[in-house]
Amino acid sequence: MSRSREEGFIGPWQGAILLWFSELPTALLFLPALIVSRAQQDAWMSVVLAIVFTLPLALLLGWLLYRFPGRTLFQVAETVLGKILGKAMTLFYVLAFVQWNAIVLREFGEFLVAAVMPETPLIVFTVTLMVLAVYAARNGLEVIARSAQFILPLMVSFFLIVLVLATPKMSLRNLFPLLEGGLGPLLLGAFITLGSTGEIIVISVVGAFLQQPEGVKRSLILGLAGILFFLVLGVMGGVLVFGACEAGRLTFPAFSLARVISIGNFLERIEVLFMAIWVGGIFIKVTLNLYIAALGLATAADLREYRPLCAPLAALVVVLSVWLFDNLTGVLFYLEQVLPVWALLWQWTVPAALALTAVIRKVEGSRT
Amino acid sequence: MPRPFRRPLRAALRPLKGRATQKDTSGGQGQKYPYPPLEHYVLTPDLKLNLQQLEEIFHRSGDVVKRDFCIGGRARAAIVYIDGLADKTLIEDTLLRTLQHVPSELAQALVDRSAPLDRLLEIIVPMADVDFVEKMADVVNHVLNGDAVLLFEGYRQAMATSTRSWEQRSISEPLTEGVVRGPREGFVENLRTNTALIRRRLKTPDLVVDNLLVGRYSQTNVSLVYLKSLVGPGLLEEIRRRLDRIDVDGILESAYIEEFIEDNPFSPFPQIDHTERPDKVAAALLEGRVALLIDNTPFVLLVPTLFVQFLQASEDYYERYWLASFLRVLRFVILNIALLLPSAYVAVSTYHQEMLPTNLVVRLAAQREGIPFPAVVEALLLELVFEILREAGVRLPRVVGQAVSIVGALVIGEAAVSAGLFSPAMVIVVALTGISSFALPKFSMAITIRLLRFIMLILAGVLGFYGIMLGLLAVLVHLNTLRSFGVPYLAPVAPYHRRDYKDVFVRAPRWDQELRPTQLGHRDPRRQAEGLQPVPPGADKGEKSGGGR
Repeated sequence: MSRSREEGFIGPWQGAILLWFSELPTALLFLPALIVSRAQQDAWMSVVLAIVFTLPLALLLGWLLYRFPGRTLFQVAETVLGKILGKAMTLFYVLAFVQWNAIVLREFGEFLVAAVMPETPLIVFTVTLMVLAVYAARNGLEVIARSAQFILPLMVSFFLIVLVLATPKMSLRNLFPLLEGGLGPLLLGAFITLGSTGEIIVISVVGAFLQQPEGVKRSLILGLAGILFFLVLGVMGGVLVFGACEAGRLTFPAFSLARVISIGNFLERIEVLFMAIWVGGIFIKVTLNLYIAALGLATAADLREYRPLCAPLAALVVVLSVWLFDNLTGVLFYLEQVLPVWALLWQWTVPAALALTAVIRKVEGSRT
Repeated sequence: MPRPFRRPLRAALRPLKGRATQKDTSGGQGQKYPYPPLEHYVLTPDLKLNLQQLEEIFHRSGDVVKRDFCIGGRARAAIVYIDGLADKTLIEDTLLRTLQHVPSELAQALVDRSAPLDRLLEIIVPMADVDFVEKMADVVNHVLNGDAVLLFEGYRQAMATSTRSWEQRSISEPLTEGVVRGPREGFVENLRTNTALIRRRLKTPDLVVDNLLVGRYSQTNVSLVYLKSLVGPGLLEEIRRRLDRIDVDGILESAYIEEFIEDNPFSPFPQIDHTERPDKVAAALLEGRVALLIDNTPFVLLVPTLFVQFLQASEDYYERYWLASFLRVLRFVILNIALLLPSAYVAVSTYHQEMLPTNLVVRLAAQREGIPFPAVVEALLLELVFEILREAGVRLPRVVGQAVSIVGALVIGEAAVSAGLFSPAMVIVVALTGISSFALPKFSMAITIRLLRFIMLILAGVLGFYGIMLGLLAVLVHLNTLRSFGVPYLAPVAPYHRRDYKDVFVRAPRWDQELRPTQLGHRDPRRQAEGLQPVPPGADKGEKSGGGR
């Protein structure tokens, strides 16, 4: 039977797809406007720069997985830092993921309310999605990865179809002049993007379940390439159709693309379909974050099962998502001003410190 | 530190949840029958005593025939069989006549016990399929299965001769899986006929028929049929393990077995495919699957089963692959219509009118003018009416069936619309949905879709497209948790196997389908020679090998 096939848990493509889902569903909604409002028509260069800046992080996370194969970040922390410090760091990460998940959930709710169903209370969306996420997270990473694999073609094809159908409204002139404002705005845009690209830290947990070290490498390369491709497309699409000025002012430029197209004068305003498909993507993202948080908490508490932790953590996420922000403006402010700095701390600095400690203390891990 | 929550890489053949107690310590299938156990009875050399015991065992049942007679006029013997299960002509004309006219010196040898019983009977019994038994339980079992059992004065042994023959339905076209082109034979209720139908298609000693008995009172024969060199390791053991667990009073249909051996007993989705077609079973065996034949039902179970199998018909393989591929895609559309059309209509007309062109919205709104229910209630009611009509149509005798369609079409369709209860658009939507659910090739999947449709409808009524999406995601996650005997249910879509895509959304030409399904055919992945693509004479031979990849 398929025993040997399933032993490795998830394949490199599944790993890459999970990376895309950990980043793109919300990034494609919220980031383009933020980047464009800084970098204007050069936003796509900001994205490229941000991905280039992310490469060291990818190398770092890959190195950690290479040195401690088959171990999640939480287990690595305990091996390297010792029991107490390791658990403290794991708890810190659990909190970080819960908080980040709450932000994602709030983004999702704000998006639905602002764009599609303005009369429904936000809490309805967040609670229903979270209930579903608990169900999926309890079923393990394998199921999450396969669900992602199923949703991905829908998302990608819909996104590309929207872009293709919007081509008549595009104007290449919107991309020029290049580097009008110099390097400053470009770097600022890249800096904002870094807050989201740091999300590839999920590989440090997901990667433990990959088939072999080559799997991690392929996952990271494919994952980063995909993120680059789709983010550039998302940013460029908005700029090409609306122009840098207008796209910077829209809240969801990629989503607005779906708004402007019409298929044969019959199906118009297909943004509802866009919304429906995007719900699938955000669902995977939220589920993955919830799974990681539960897994981390179970590691810290030395529990045998992470599953009972999913529901309470999900409740915490829902409460936080309501409590953290007052409104959409608050969310956007956070994404723009706070997130990049905070992300640099927990997604970049802490793993780097961990790796440094591992080198200094000469700790190594073998596959257990 | 242990890493226990690295979710135990769920072993491919996940054991069924449930009690792990060991029962049936007697070991082996042979000791399960008959029920209740006959420990106190033994075969004795005393013929009379044996017959008395049998009478006691069968409680003087009316259909058990016992007859004393003399072999060659000297040796006393008796024959026991069940009227209606055994071939009376065979017993009377051949068996009894020959035995009664055995030369007397042979009969005397039988009386004198001058040679072992089996040697003597070799000479005098004119039957091919015989079995010597020494236990009363075996005697009873043979009799219950339609064999005639011969008992002899002075011997502790008895001989069972195969005389099984009873009234049965003849082989006819399968009703549930018709084809335009393809064999028209379908399975019947008789297990032996069914195994023969498969054997006729796969003439190889590799085809193994493993017999088991299930059911205390029904003692139903279950046959595991597989191709020895193709079936995956572990699969057979797992199936046997699950079958051995079944300890019930009776098995009357393969659905009984199905419910006992499913991977997820709570799922609304069918996890084991069943078929009436021998050609489909043969095809499944050639892919490395295992067929479960159950006596007294024409429906054969096939394991492992994938979701996509429920959207395939055997005719896909008998028509040209262009048409087959078109039908495959069409069935996915049908599946979506059957599941989602009413809910999508409700969502659009209630929440997202902006999606439609203005004049269509105006027209729909005009139709809905004066209708007393909100769209979701209207849809639910109409769906309910449709389900009632369908159920009535299925249960009623054929003669009355017409009345149902008249009532359904005229009264409900016409009158309800003109009375202003339902809008014509909603009637169209529900009718189209109903037709679509009939168009699905597998009834067992169509039922599931029907049930889920109501849930989707309610979700759409409450939350619009977001609700539909929530429902779909829940279904998706659920489908991803399912496995059928270790194989992920949604394979080869998720997990993705590119090679297997040749037989999912399209049906690739036969000469291009060189490999067996990844999940099943590990033992021998290649199913045919390379480069079988037909090349017309005179064409360049060099291009031949290029096409297959």
